[in-house]
Parts: sequence; structure tokens; C-alpha cells
Amino acid sequence: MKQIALFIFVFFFAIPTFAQTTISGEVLNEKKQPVFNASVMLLRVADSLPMAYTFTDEKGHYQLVTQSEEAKLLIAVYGFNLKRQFKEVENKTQTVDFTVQEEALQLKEVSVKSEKIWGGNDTVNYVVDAFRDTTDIVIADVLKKMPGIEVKDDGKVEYKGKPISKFYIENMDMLQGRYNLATTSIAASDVASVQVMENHQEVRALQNIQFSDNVALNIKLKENAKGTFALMADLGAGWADSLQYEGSLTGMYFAKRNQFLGTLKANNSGINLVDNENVTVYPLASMVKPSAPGISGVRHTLNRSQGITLNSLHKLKNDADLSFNLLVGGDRNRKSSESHTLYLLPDDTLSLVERMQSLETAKMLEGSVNYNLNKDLDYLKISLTASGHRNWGEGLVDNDDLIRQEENYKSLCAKANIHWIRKSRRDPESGIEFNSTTSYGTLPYGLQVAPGCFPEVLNDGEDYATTIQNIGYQSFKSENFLRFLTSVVWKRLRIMPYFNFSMEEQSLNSDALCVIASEAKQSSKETSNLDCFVVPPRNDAKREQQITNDIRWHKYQPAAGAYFTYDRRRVNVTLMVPVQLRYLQLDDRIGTASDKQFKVLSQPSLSFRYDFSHNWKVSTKISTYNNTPSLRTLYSGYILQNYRTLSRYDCPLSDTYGANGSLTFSYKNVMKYAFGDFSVNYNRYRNEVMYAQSFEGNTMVINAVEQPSWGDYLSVSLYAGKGFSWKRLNINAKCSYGWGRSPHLIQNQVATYYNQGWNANLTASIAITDYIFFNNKASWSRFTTSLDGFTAGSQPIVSLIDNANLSVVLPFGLSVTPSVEFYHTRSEGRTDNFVLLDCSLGYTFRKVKFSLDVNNILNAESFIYSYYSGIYGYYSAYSIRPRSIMLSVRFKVI
Amino acid sequence: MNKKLYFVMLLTLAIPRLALAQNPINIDEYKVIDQSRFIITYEAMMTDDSLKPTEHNYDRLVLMVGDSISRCYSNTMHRYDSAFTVSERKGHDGYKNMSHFVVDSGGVWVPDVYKYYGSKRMTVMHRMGTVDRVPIYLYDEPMDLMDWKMSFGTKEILGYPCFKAECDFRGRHWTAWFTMQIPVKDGPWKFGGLPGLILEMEESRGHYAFRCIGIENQQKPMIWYDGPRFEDYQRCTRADVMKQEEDYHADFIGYIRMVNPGIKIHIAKRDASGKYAGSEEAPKGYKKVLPYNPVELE
Repeated sequence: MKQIALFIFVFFFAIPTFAQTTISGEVLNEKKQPVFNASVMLLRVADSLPMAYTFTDEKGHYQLVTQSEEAKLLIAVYGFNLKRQFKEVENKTQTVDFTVQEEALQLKEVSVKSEKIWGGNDTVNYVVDAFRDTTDIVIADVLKKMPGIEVKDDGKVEYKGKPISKFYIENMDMLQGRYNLATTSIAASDVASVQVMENHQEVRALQNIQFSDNVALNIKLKENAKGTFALMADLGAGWADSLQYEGSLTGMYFAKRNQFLGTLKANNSGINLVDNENVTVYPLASMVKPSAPGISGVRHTLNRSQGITLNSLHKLKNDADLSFNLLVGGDRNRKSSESHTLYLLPDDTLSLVERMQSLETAKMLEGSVNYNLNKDLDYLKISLTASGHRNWGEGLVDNDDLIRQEENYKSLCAKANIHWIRKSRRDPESGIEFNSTTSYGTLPYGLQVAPGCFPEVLNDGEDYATTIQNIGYQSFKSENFLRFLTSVVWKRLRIMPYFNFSMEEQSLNSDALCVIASEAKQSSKETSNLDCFVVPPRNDAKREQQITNDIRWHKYQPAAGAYFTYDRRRVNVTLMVPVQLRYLQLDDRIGTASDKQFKVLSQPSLSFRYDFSHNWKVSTKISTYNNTPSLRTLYSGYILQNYRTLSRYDCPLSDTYGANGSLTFSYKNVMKYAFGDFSVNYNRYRNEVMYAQSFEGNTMVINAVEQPSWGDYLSVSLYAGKGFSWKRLNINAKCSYGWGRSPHLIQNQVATYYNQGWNANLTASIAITDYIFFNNKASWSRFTTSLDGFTAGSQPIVSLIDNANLSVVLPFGLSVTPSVEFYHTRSEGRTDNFVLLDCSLGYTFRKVKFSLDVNNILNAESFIYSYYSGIYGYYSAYSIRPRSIMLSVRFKVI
Repeated sequence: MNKKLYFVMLLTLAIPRLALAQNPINIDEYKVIDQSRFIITYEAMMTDDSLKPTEHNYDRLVLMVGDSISRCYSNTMHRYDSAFTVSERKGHDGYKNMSHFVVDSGGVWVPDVYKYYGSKRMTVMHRMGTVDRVPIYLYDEPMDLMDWKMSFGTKEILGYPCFKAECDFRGRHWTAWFTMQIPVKDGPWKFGGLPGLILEMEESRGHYAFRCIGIENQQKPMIWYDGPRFEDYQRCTRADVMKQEEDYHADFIGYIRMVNPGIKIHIAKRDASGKYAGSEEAPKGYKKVLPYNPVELE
């Protein structure tokens, strides 16, 4: 009882000893209007920690209660778009009013560290900023660091070791295959994400009907990079053994309905602006000239090149794309090398050493127009391309004799394609597809070689001064395909009948002239070279027949067949069963090779894909094929292919039958940034004819002989790519093995050649800190060739390449990138090691990027490489650009 | 749609991945209800199974703060809806294509919370982790349900000085870190009501947490979806949703049978080594219990 009384006493009398302070008031704005929902917080003066808080009501009133015994209190008033205010007050019940100012609230931003990669079943999205660092200028620089993606030295992009088939910018295909214009022009900082689409069926009307295993890449731009025109300039000057320059002006505009990309470029620093992308006819002969190594052109191309490209795309009212592409280019290229070619012959090895020089000039003009309507039920693509190339070249070969060569040719190619699909409105599963491609190419070609080679064959054994080989070659091809989409559907099985008609015509005219006296060449500058030559009269009809050609070749091939497809969520099977009729006719107006052939053929193919799980896929393809040689290997009169090869193929029409099978396991785990691919490919073929190669000294004569033979090859490749969050480490590894067995008829003996090659590549990039980045690319390969039953086997060729570069970002916008490339080649008892050392210094001032590049600091003279191919081994020391220094500046004009 | 196939697939997935089968929304059909002023991104950590307290799943939450409304939704869910919409836009059966959608981090934060500052109420959109064509549940609750206690503590989060506050909310004890430098009475999920934006929330057992990872000044339209599936929205109470979730977790197969009458359920068989070995129809009384550790225990 006492306790209770005490408790009551304490309870009633103790309360007043807890000081309870009530602070109330109102919060008004500068216009004396009440402020609603402002935060009012009571803080401890000593450490500014909150003790109580409230929010103002509609009338701007607030009330705060505290039991704190502090002498003073701090009141903070703040809110959405209000300037924060503090007041220190006595700790007593009182009224405190506030007049607050309005102030727009702008938050200190914290950018979200994005997920680097995300995606679904067939798409992978790479967030560009997660891979980009300050040293990256264009999007190609960043693509190199993305797991699963590789950028080759020639600018081609591969995903899991497979070249991409389509390149889109904002889902639009403006560049029609010349996508390195974009990857080397679009600034990395303007790209939001890169999207890779596997199993990409570009024709929407064929989605869910025809399975595709193509890979496409789409560039998604940041919002601020869209709809504005940007003009970038890149100018550079420097010194190697002469003045070096490069200049480019790139205009870009990417909007929802229009895209434009135009470039104007000129340089003598190794970038070739002429390409053969849309060329369909190739010369049957050529000069023997240095062959460029497969490294970046900047290292070895000693050229002078100019080019203009204009590309635009417009979306029409019906959502069709209309695009135009124009490319004009010129290039002059100087090459020199020393090469050793080793022919493995059944009873001998033949070694050939050639010191070569060449100077080539090429000019090109190409234009194309594309119309593309791509809807769910309708598809129409019309594309027209025309291109013209003009080439001149002169070359010298020193193989103890001095051989002069000149070549001169122009090619003209035109191509038209119409692809049309219309699906039924009532039943979108059915429809009709028509695809027609027609191409035409013409190529007049001339080659002069002095002194005269092959006197036995070409000039009755008498020595002569010059051979002039003229070749006129024309080709016309038309392929027409008609297919009914889904005429029969049973469960998920679809049968689609099709008809195909293809025709091909080729014509070849050639003449080899032997010139007795070439001194006349110097005698007059006014008349053309040919007029001054003294050509011996050709009174021998047999010889005439032996060295001239006038041949037409026709191929007509109607076919009918059906596609059987089975498509379920995880399984996709396509079987194609065709029946073809083939009619071939060879009309030899001079020689005796005229022939006709009629055959019925069937070349079925089967593809199968199964998605084991989200991460694993397996696919297999089996196909059979039949090839028939074209006119390029059917002429009966000799053609001088080059100064040391003379060829004729006087034999009846023949066939090659073959079968090809492949098996691929594919792995992708987007969450773990892991990609992998394992594939095995096997091919076996049977030829009805063999090409007999016979060597006389260093010269080779090719004749076709009727003798069946077969060969096969096997390749195995493994690809693995993995990205890590740790230090942005990215590793790509590719390993492949190839084995081939091919019969050759050499020196009148049939010999089987066994080729074997191993190749391993490893690329890695890492951000050691936020300012230090390291890239390394290593490659090792080993080739062997052996000749069954004749020689024990040749020495292997082993090469090891390692390229490493380190980028260091320094303060004040400076960066330095030293890089080293090490090459090791071992072949035929010879070991070559050499190092190429480069250094690049970058400086960014506002938005202007300066760079000072010093390349080949150690001044290595030549690039050495070696390989085996078929019956020969090849070693080359190719002259590269000497030590060079280049100062360049890149800036935005508009 | 072939439901049989769908379910074989579903059951072969790992349990945390069940959230993959959330029913999607076509995000092409919407109305704009406000404009955002800030966009705050949180990382949400979840624990599906309280018996495995170290196995967490993660999602990203996006809190869009406008003048009169805020919305807090799952980034994964949004991406899932986008993929569904793109698929529908192409004229495909969106549902069919969604089965392979990847959840990068393994988790999905289901509730989509709209807070209406004016009426001081919030609308929660809740999608069950089930087959398609099950209604999307909507329920309303008053805002600012938490009874916050200030505790003296400070911490800097992403460069913002933060104060500490604590509350008990529906069976869990939470610690909040808020900043007066962002004077918004909001936070992740249903949390809010503090005099500053909540940048971090931690649950005392370590089962749940929200951590701010991004702050942007961004003006973007805030959206309420009202496409054809709007008719599928079903107004209900929070208790109804909790009951549905409980039933669903207690007997997942039974639940699916209940909401999709006549459905055939096939179960993936596994051999001794755990490999997939075909499927068979589930027997009548077949039951599957999923671990249940909801964020709201009461």
C-alpha cells in the first residue's frame, strides 16, 4: 500500500519535473501564403541530430513537442522547392513563425551503375557506358571490350566467333554491309547500348516460318545524339620517310525517320578507301606481287587514298525504308617483299625466291538504291547496285631473272534483287514468296610480262621479249525463287513447296600475243604501246587454237522441291528436298571443248536445332552439294595466269559431289557474362577431274585430266568469352584445329597432301584502376603439310604473336598509350623474331582531342609471316611503314 | 496457348525463378498521370526462404517522384512487360514468348505502389506468380502507415548525410536512413512519411533491405496502364491478396488448378543424377509447397 501511495505521489508530482516544450507556429511563403506539407524538424544544437519532426497542415500550421532538457533547440524548415531555413530558439513553449523562400530543387545526381549486360533468349544488350573508358573514341573501341564480341583488324564484327550478318543503327539498315563506316565514326559516348540479336530473321513476314541462325547487331543511340546533325573532323600530319597526312570529315544525322552518314576522306597513312564489296567478276590472271600480311593496314599499306561516301535512309509514309549509298574512291599502293615459296613435289621440293615490288592504282565508283518494306504480312525489298572499278598495276619480280609485269583492267558489275512476300490477311500462316536476283559483270583484262616466258608452248621454242595476255570475261546470272508459305500444316509440321529457276551465262575471249621486239616501246611516246610491238604472224592454226579462246558457257537449272519445317518452342527442324534438272552447254568456237550435259540432281539438306535449356543450345546441319566448274576452269586454250603459271583445262564437263556436316554446341549465360561455342565441321567431296600441275623449272603448267579423286577436311573450334565485374576484366579465347586431305596430280603422279593446323587466340582487357587500362591479344599457330608416301613430312611452321597495350589516363586531359607487338615465326630451320613498338599521347582540351602517335619506334623494316597452303609453303618478309610520327586532331565542327 | 507445355517448362525451373511467370502487361496502353521530378533507384534484397537466410535475391526498384504522385516499381517487371509488349507489337502471342525471359539477378519485387500525395492514399498493384489470365489485384491503403521513432544516428549514403529512424511495420522491425537534403516524404515500396527521402531500409533479421543506388533529376511521364487487361484488374483488399499468396505458396499446384479449371499439369521427372527425364501428368492430389517469407507478416 505504501508503495502504491509512493507511486501515486511520484506520478503526480514528478510530471512537472519532465520539461515538455511545445513549439508551434506557421510557415508562410514570401507572398504570406501558407505553405502546406513543409517539413519542420527539431534538432539538437550540439550535434544537429533530429529529435522530432512534423509537417505543416493546409493552413501552414505546425506543432512540435519535445521533452528535451537542452537549453536551446534548433528548428529546421524545409520542403519541396523551399529554401531550407534554420532557427535557434530557447527551449520553452513558444510560437515560432517562418517565412520561407521558394527555390527549385535540383538533386545532386548519382548515376546508377548499370547492369552491364542483360537480355533474353535471343538478344543480348550491352550497356555501352559500363564498358567505356575515357580513352575510347568511337564505338568500335568499346565493342572490342564486350564479352562475346570481337572486332577484327579489317573492322568486321564477330559475335561468338561468327561474323554478323546485319548492322542496324536504331533498327535501320542504312549502310547495307559497309558498317565499319559507322563503327569508326559514331562516338562511343553517343551510344546507349549495343544489342546483339541471335537467330535473327530480318524478314518479319518469315519470322516463325523460316528459322535463321544469323546474328545481327543494333546500335541504340542516346536521346541527345538523335535528331541533331553532327560534323566531325579528323586531321593529321606527320612524317615517316615522307610527309604523312590524313584527313576526314564525317557528317552524321540519326533521327526517327531519316538517317544520314557521309564521309570525305584522304590519307597516305595506310587506310585504303577502295573496296571490292560488291564485285562479282574477278580476273583470271594477275601479276605476281607482294601479298599483304593480315595485320592492320596502317602498318603496311604505303598508299595514297581518297574517298567519298554518302549514305542516307528515309522512312516513307508506309514505313518502308528507302536508302541510297554512293561510294567514290581512289587508291595508289606501293608494295615490296621478299618471299620464299616451297612446292612439295612427290620426288622433289622446289624452292622459289622472289623479291617483288609493285605499284597499283585503283579507282572505284559504286551506287546503290534500296527499298525495304518490312511488315508482318508484307515484305518487299528492291535493291539495285552498280559498281565500276578501274585498276592499273606494274610490278617487278627478281628471281635471278628480272621480270617486268603490267596489268590493266576494269570491271563493271550490276546487280538487282527483288524479294517479295505477301501473306494472307485471313490466315497469316500462309502466303507467297518470290525472290529474284540478277547480276551482270564484265571484265576486260590485260597482262604484259617481259621477258617472254613459256617459249616452248607459246612461241615454238623461240625466245621472245614480251607476252601480252588479253582476257575478256563476262558473266550473267539470274536466280528466281518462288515459294508457297505453308500449304500444308499438320500439328507443328509445315510443308512449303517451292520452284526455282536459275541460269548462268559466261563468255571468255582470250589471246596470248608474243612480242619479238620490245625496243619499239621506247621509240615513240605518241602512239600506244601495242602498235609499236612487233608481233610474229600467226600462220599456224593449231597454235592459234592452243593460245586463244572464244568460249560461251550456259547453265540452266530449273528445280522444284519442298521445305519441311517443324517448329516448336525448343526444337526447330528444317529439311529441304529439291529435284533439279541441269542443262550445261559449252560452246568452244576455236577449240575442241564443245560439250553438252543434261542431269537430274537432288541435293537435300537438313538442319536441326534444340534448346536444351536457357543457356545451352545444340544445332546440327547436314547438306549435300554438287558443283560444276564454271568457265574459269573450262577453257581449252592456254591462258597466262601469271609469269610462272600457264593453264588450260581441256576436258569434258564434270562434277564435284560433296557432303558437309556440322555440329555446334552453344552456351550463353547473360547473368554471368559468359559465352561459349563448340563446333565440329566435316566435309567430304569427290571430283571427276583432277588438275594436273607440272613444273618445269619455276614455271607451272596446269591441265585438267579426267580422273576421279576424293578429299576431305575436318575442323574443330572452341570459343569462350567471359566478362567479370572485377576490374572490368574481359577474356575471349578461341582455339581451332583443322585437318585436310586432298589429292593432287603433280608431275604425272597422284599424291595425297595432308594439311594440319592448330590455332589458339586469347584476348583480354582489364581496367587495372579507373585510370589504367590494359589490353592483350595473343595468338599461336602451328601448321604442317605432308605428302603421303613420298616425303616424310615437312617442318612445321610455328608462329606466336602477342600484342599488348597499356592506356594510362593522366590529369589535365592527358593520356598515354604505349603498345608493343611481338612476332615470332619458325619455319624450315629459320627463326624470326621482331618487335613493333608504338606510343600514342592523347590530350583533350574542351571537346577537341589531340593525339600524337609514334609508330614503329624501333624502325623494323619488314613484317615476316609464313604458312602452308595445299601443296606449298610460303614465307614472306613484307616491307612495312618505317618509324612514323603523326599529330592528329579530332573535333566537332557542328 | 499450350498450357501443358508451359507448365512442364515452369516446373523444371528453379523455384526462385517462378517469378518469371508473372502475368505481363502491355505497356503500350496507358495514360499519363503525372510527370516525374526525380527518379530514385534502389536495390531490393529479398529472402524467399526464411530457413535459408543467406540465400538472397535481388531486384532493382525505380521510385519516380512527381508533384502529386509517386510510383515505385520493379525494373525487372518493367523490362519483362516491355519484352511482352514488343512481342505483342509484332503480332506474336506475347505470353508464349515470355517463358524464356531472364531475370538477371534472380528476384522480382512484385508490388507496384502508386502513392497519391493529395488523398494520402496509395494503390498497390499486385501480380501473382502464376499463369496468364489471372486477374491483376489492386488494393488501396492509407499512406504513411509507419510509426517512426527517431534514433540518434548518422550515415552518409551516396554523398547525402542521412538520419536514422526506426519502426515496426507488419511484423518486421525496420531501420530507415533518410536525408533532409531531399525533402520528399517518400521511400521504397510502401515506406514514407519521414521528413526526407529514405535512401536505405534494413529489416532486423536481414531478410529484406532496400539500398539507394541512383538519384537522377529526370522529367519522365508517370504512367497508369489501362489497356485491355485493365478489365482484368481486380479491386480487393490487402487481406485478400495475402490470402491468395498464402494459398499459392501452401499448395502451388492446387492453386494453379483452382485458377485455371481443367488445366493439365505435367511434372518434370528427374533421374538419379538430377537430369530432366521427360514429364508425366501430375496425380490428383499432387502438392507442391513453396517457401513463404513475405515482407508483410501481418
